Amino acid sequence: MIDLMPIWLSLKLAFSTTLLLLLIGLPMAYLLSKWQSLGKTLVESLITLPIILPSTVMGFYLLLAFSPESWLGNLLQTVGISLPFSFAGMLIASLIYNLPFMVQPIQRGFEEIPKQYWQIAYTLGKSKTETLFRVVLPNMKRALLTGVILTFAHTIGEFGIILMIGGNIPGVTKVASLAIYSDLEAMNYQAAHTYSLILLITSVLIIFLLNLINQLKVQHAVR
Amino acid sequence: MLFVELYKQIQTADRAEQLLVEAHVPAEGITAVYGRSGIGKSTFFNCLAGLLEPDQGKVKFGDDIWYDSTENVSLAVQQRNIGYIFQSNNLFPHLTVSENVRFALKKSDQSTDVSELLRQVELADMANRYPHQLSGGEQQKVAIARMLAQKSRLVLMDEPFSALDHVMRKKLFDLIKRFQQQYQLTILIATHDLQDIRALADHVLWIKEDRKVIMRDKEAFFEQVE
Repeated sequence: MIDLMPIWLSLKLAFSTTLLLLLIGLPMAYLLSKWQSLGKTLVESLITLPIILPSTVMGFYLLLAFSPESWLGNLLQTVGISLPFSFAGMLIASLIYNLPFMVQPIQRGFEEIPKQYWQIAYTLGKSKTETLFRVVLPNMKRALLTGVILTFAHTIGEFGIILMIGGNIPGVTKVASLAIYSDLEAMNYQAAHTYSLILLITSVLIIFLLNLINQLKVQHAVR
Repeated sequence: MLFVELYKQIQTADRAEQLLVEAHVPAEGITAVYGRSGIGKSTFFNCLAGLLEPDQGKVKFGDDIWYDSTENVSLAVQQRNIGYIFQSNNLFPHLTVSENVRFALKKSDQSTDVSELLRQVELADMANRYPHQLSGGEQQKVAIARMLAQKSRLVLMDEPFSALDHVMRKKLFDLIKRFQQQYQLTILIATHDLQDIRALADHVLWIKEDRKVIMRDKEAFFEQVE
């Protein structure tokens, strides 16, 4: 019987990252979809950075930022917070690293909403907030779902940045992807195999779900 | 009476031009807003509706001042209660036909009979369909029913027939004329089609090539344009 704690930690990290990023990414994607200036390109480039940057590079800089020698780490320590090798630190790293996977699909979703939907709702007396929740978001469910699934899947599969910030501490930061690495090093192949199989099945299911959503999107567009 | 005196800079492909509209639109009847594509008809409508801020001027409907640059008055679009029908994308795809019409009802007005409004536009049996299950003309009819549910006095229609065939156009012309009289609406229809004007309009607000506007009754307009 394998230790289920890494699976639980992976799920906890994936759910927390997805939920928090949805709350952060939604307003960010909205603002980016409305923004028209050179600054937008800069912000979009920064958000996209985790897709091309090696996770170890980002992990290295975050570790430096979180360390007590840095002004941020020092400030956090004075209020009793230490982020390196903690679940909270791992979660923050995961939020930064997954930002593009949530923001980009939702931003595209906002951009695809015809301007008339906003205008018609306004002429019918609805406020901006009411229009957002009653008209715009219900018409970009697929974009929201794509953002959620991609973020969740990417968090489950994270390795480099998690290892650097979390430190692979059993029961605290040792998620499933790190457990495979540890078990392989300890030549505990059966456990590594089981964790790998669980992640493989999860990934296949997620990709299948994503393709299914895109298929529905195509059918909707054809209609 | 709709009193309009507005100035708005329009950015064309190669330069900025000034749209200047000075007009008294009669309170009752159908006024066509005529001009070629890109001349500024939609800009004019958006300024009337409050979706765009004019650079200067005054817009007054009846006794209500909607915009006055000298007095710093600019009523929000939500407060103007204007029925606005676009060329397309008028309906919300996630709502059924009856839900789209009900969307226009104010919180204080839930007594309006949506089924009756759909019957008036000959779509009573399509209440539970979604917009993608309707033809272009049927979608425009739903938008008209929603405009009736909104109980607006001023209605703006921006090229509402351009994607429709002649049979459907004729049906919509009849509906619009009937509702204009029944509900005493002030209707402005933007079009670049002289046939639409001949069939529907009482007056014409003509945006000319220099983006200045003249107001004519239909007969005088056709004498001038022909």
